[in-house]
Formats: sequence, structure tokens, C-alpha cells
Amino acid sequence: MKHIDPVCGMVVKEENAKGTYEYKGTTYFFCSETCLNAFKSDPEKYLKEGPLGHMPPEER
Amino acid sequence: MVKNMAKKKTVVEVRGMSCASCVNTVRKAIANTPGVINVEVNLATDQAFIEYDEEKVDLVEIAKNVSKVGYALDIEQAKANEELENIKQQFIASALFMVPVTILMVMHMSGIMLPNMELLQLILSALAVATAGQETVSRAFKALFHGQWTMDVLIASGVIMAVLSGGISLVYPSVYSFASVGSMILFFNLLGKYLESSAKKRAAKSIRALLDLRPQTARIIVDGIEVEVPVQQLDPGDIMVVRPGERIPTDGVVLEGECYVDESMISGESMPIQKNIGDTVIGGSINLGSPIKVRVTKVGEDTFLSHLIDLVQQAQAARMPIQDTLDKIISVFVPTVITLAAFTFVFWLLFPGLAISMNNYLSSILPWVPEGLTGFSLAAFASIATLVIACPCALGLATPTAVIVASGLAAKNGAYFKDGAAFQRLATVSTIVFDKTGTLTTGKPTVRKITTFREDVDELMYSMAKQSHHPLSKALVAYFEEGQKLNSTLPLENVKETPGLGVLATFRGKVYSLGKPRRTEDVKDFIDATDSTVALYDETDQVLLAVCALTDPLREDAAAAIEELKKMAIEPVLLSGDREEVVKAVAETVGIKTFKANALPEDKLNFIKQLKAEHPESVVAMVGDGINDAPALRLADVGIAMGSGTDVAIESGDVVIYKSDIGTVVKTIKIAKATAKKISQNLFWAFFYNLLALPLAMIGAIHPVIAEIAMAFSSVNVVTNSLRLNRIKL
Repeated sequence: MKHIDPVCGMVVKEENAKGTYEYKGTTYFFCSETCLNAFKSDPEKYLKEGPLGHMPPEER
Repeated sequence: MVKNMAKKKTVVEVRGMSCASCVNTVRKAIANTPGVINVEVNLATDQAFIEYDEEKVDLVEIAKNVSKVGYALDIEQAKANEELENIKQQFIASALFMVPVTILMVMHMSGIMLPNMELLQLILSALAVATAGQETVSRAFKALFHGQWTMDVLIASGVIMAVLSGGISLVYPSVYSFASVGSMILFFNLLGKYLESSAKKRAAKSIRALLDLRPQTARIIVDGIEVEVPVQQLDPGDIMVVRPGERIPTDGVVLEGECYVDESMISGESMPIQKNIGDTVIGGSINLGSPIKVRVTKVGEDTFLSHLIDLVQQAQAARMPIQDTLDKIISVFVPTVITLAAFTFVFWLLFPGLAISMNNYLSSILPWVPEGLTGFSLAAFASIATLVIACPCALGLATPTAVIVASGLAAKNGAYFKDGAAFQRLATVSTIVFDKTGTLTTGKPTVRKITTFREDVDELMYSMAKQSHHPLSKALVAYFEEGQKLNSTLPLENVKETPGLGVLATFRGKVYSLGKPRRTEDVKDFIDATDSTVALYDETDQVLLAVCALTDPLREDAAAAIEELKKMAIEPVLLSGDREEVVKAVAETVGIKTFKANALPEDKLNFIKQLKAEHPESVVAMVGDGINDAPALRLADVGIAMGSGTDVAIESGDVVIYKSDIGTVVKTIKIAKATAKKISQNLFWAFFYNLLALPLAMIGAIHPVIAEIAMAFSSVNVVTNSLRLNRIKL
């Protein structure tokens, strides 16, 4: 299964996810720890505003 | 011209790059290959400029490293380009010398003499060999060094000897100078090579065209949102959204929506093809209709398009069995000619008296034979003439020109040959086994007859059929819409479709069913044994209201195609898993004598085994498309796989035919037959003039102009003969 990283907007495969986080009953998948930590610190911000955009991790 | 420098620069196309980080990855992969001096990668043009040390690394090695990181270098095209450029230069150089040499020759022939004319011809020819012929000569020495008698050896010895004869002629004016023939041999030899590599480049281009069909990105649904991703990231199971006008990114099955697709680039089929829910779509085809959702079934190397590209590549790399035979002939022919030349030289040297009287006799009856030759000058003249005349420069053209023209012709007709050998085997086929009736029929059931027992049931039948996805229901809908111009449906209630049974619906308080007839005796008077049947019942009153008889009609060209097969002395056989009545009817209508119904896969295998055991000389072709056909396809001498079938079948086949109809099968056989014939004819023409002139050369009864005419005629004959393949009637 593929998911969208709620922080950067990248497509993340479940098995390749660098981190997962359950929030209000939904599991989110992340492309990197940076995104995971960003989400952990303020989940509502990303869920409300949406992902920041399509940016590969090395260019962020 | 030979590039001796170890440093080499080249431009190669890169496939699969979509962003700046791709460029970095590709650049690193190339730069980290030992031996690479400099590299630039351009995203906009998809090109890599590579400078490398030819002695330390080659393009194949670099390409391997690039493919390790997930991209591809198109080295086939780069190689084809380079080879073409190299040969083009040699060819142009040889042409530059050939033109003045020919002018001098014509002047000489017409009696216009210039001072030092022969010397001039000698110098020009020697320069041609030193420049344009340098690579051929060095290849010949390499081959000799390894004890191989190749065509290069013959060409090189012929050319060198021809120039040498120019030198001898300065000392012994009675010996003709073959110097001009030398530059001519070189010219035709290089012309052949040039044509061959420009054809190779065209072939590389056709692969390129197929590769270009692969879209770079796909839109998939992730967490309910449409996201664009590179096709490399697709996995089976992903849901793609394909809008009208877009290429379908990879193979899949339609989940939602209906549309027409254009598969012409893959199949040659110019008509758009309708795709409904559950139908398979091919990556690379174009959605011409409304937006569809497609579930990905295959990605990357597993897709149909990738298989096709592999096939085309294999076909070009493969050698024909006749080419192996030819190599054997050459490996005998070349030393034989050289021995003959040596023998000629020694013979005349040992018998100078005989040489003089023979020369006197020949020059008195043949005006072109030089007069006053001595033992030594005749020995030199005849042995050089033998070497020169024996160069069959058209030989190199015989097979490749025919196969190249034939492959193009086949592809245009929707057939792909896995290797050149398949052309030859298919050409000799004596029995062809069709594995199903579908090859002979249209595969689309159509309404043959509808019998109604109450008036006004058409609209009801149409409305109910419209609710079903069954192919027979679809045929009914098509019949009513196109034939009866119906388009409004009745307000049905409680519609329910049960697979295998049909549609149940309520209309004005009564329950109706449309589907398989309950009892055969209900309908048997209204249908034929080969029909598929749909019946309409009033379930409330238990009355039969209508019987529809549907058939899968024969292809219009089926009978004519079978007739043509028989004319070619190929026996058609139908082994089908279908019912006896259907198979019998199809076989009898089209004129197939040998048929078997209810055939299991083992039956097909056993049939081929038995046929080959009873008639070992027979060449059996098998047409199939299912997984269970694979063993039979392999066992048959020629497996013809239907492209719309399974991958296993495609991999087991020698020939892949994209259009699953008998007309294409017949056309493909015709192409194969014509190709095999052309190759034999070409070989004949390549040797004919040379062998004819060989004995004349050995007795010193030849003139350089005769040699020139022989060379020119055989080359032109071969090329035009191959091109005529395009004009065969299919």
C-alpha cells in the first residue's frame, strides 16, 4: 500500500516508510524521521494545512 | 578511419531521468566507472556526454553501472551511430578515389591516353587502400593471425594484389593493371557495410520508437488523492487514473469507466478498440475516450511493451542459420581461392612454353586478352586476376538486406519474429495447428435470430440486457441499439444479476428473467446446434417470451486464408477445446479436414508428437495463446504466439502475432517464404558472376573491366532483389 506523507506530500510505500505515527485512530506514514518528528510536534498543523509540497528529502 | 587514440568522446541517450536528483545519480554512476575521464548529463535532452579511455573501459561497462542505479543508457543506438559514422567516412573516402579512377578508366577504354595515366591510376588506388581500406586490411591481418579465413582476408588480398599489379604493369607493360579494380572492390564492399549499418540504425530507431511509447509518469490514487509519480514507482495493485488523450502508463485492468483505446503503435490495428470494466489495457496505448481508472497488473520488464522491445532486440542480434552455413562456405572458399591463385602462379611459372602458346592462342581469338605475355608475366597476371575476381563483395549484403526488409514488412503487418532463424523455419512449414476456433472467428458473438412469442418484448429485453455485463447481453444490446434503433429503457425495479443465470427484474408488478434457457427442449426448435442461446421468461406466469440465437461468426477472410494455406501446401489442423458441434461447423465451413473437439492441452501436445513421429520430415507450426499452450508451442518447429495471450505463451513462441486472426498468420508465412527465397537468390547472385569469371582469370583471359562489371552487377542485383520484398503481394 502507498500513502502520502502528511508533512512533505511524498508518496511513501508502507514497507519503505521510515516511521509511522498513529494519531486519532489513523496511521500516518513518513518518508523520513524529519517528517515524522515534524508531524509529532504539531499534527493538527499538517492535517489542517496539508502537506508542504512535493520536495525530495535531499532538497529540503 | 581508425581511431587509435585511447581517449574517446561520445553522446549517449539516457532513459528514465525525471528530476535533478536523477541527473546527479546518473552522473555519479558514470563518473565512478574506472576509465571515465569526463561526463556531463543533460536532463532537458536526456543525453549524457561521456569522455572515456577506450583501453580501460567500454560503453557496456558504463551502461551496467548506470542500470545498477535504476536508469538506462541507450548504447545500442550510440554504437549504431558510431559504427555508421565510421563506415560512412570510409565509404566517402573510397568514393572520392573511385570517381577519378573510373573517369580515367573510361578514358582509357575509349582510347584517350594521357601521359602517365597508369601511374596516376596506381597512385589513386594505392591511396584508396591506404585510407579507406586501412581498417579492412588491418582486420584481415588480425584474422589471418588467428588462423581465420574471413571475407576481409579475401577483400584485402584482392585489393592489395590489384594495386600490386599496377606496379608490375609498370615493369611489364604487357600485364594489365588491376589497380582500378582494387578501388572498385573496396568501394562496393564499403557500400555494403554502409547500407547494413544504416539499416541497423533504422532498426535501433524502431526500438527507440517503442521505448518512447512508455510514459514517464502516472497519476495514481493514494489515500484518496490523485498524485503524479514516475512510472518506476508503480507497483501492481496501484490504481491509475488515465485521462482522455493520455497514454496508459503500464499494463492493467480497467476498474472504472469505459473507453476506446488506440493500440496502433503496438498492434498495427488502426481501429480504436473498446475497453470495458475488467478488460486488459496495454501500457503505451492511448485513451481516446472518457477518463478511466486502471488497476496496475504489470510493471517494468514484465509489461507487454517491454517484452516486445526485447523481442525486437533479440531478432536483430540473432544470426540466421544460413549465416553460419555461409561462414563455413567462406572459411573453405577463401583458402581455396588463395590456393588456386598460388597454383595458377606456380603452374605458369613452371610451364612457360605452355603459357606463351596459350597466350598466343587466346589473344588471337579474344580481343581483350593482352598479347606477348611471358611465363612470369602471365603467372603474375592470372594469379592476381584470380584473387581479384573471386571477391564476392555482394556476399555481405545477401542475408542482412533481406532480413532487414522482411522484419520491417512483418512489423508493419503486426508480426514480430523472435529471431532470424524463425524466418527460415516458418518458410518450410508443412502443417499448421490452430488451437482454438477463436483464431478463425471474430470472437464477438452477434445475434443471428430472435424468436418472440409475444409482441412488444423487444424493449423489455433491451432494458434487461442493458443491466448485465455478460458478453451475450452486450451482443443483445448492440443488436437492439444498432439494428432496432432502441435507446430508451423501461423503468425496471429490483434488478438483480446472478452470474451464470442471468438478470432478474420486476416491471409493472411482474417478474421477468433474461438468461440461460431453463430447459433445452424449450428452445431447441428455434436454434442451431452451434448457437449460444439467451431466453426471456415471464417468471410470474412461467411463460417463455423470447429465444435469442447468437453465434460467433467466422472471420470474413477465414475460408480464403485456409484456401491459401492449402495452396502453399500447408495442411491446416484445428484442435479446439470447444464443443464438437461448434468445432465441426467451423472446420467444415472453412474447409479444414483434420479437426478435434474437446481437445485437452495434452491432446495438442500428443498430436504434434505423433505427427512428428509419423512424418519426421514435416515442419509443424502451432498457433496458441494460453498458458497451457506453452509446451505445445515449444515442441512445435515454429511456435506462433498470439500477442494478446499470456506472457508464457509469448515467451514460448518463435513468432509473435499481435492481431489474433488467421489473415495475419497467412501473411506472416508468406513473408517468411519470400524472405527465404530472396536469401537464396541473393547468395546465387553474389557468387554467380565471380565464379563465372574465375576460370577465365586462371588462364589469363580476363580484362579488368570484366572484373569491374561483375562486381557492380552482383552488388546491385542483391540490393534491388531484397528491396523487391516490399512489393510481394500479401
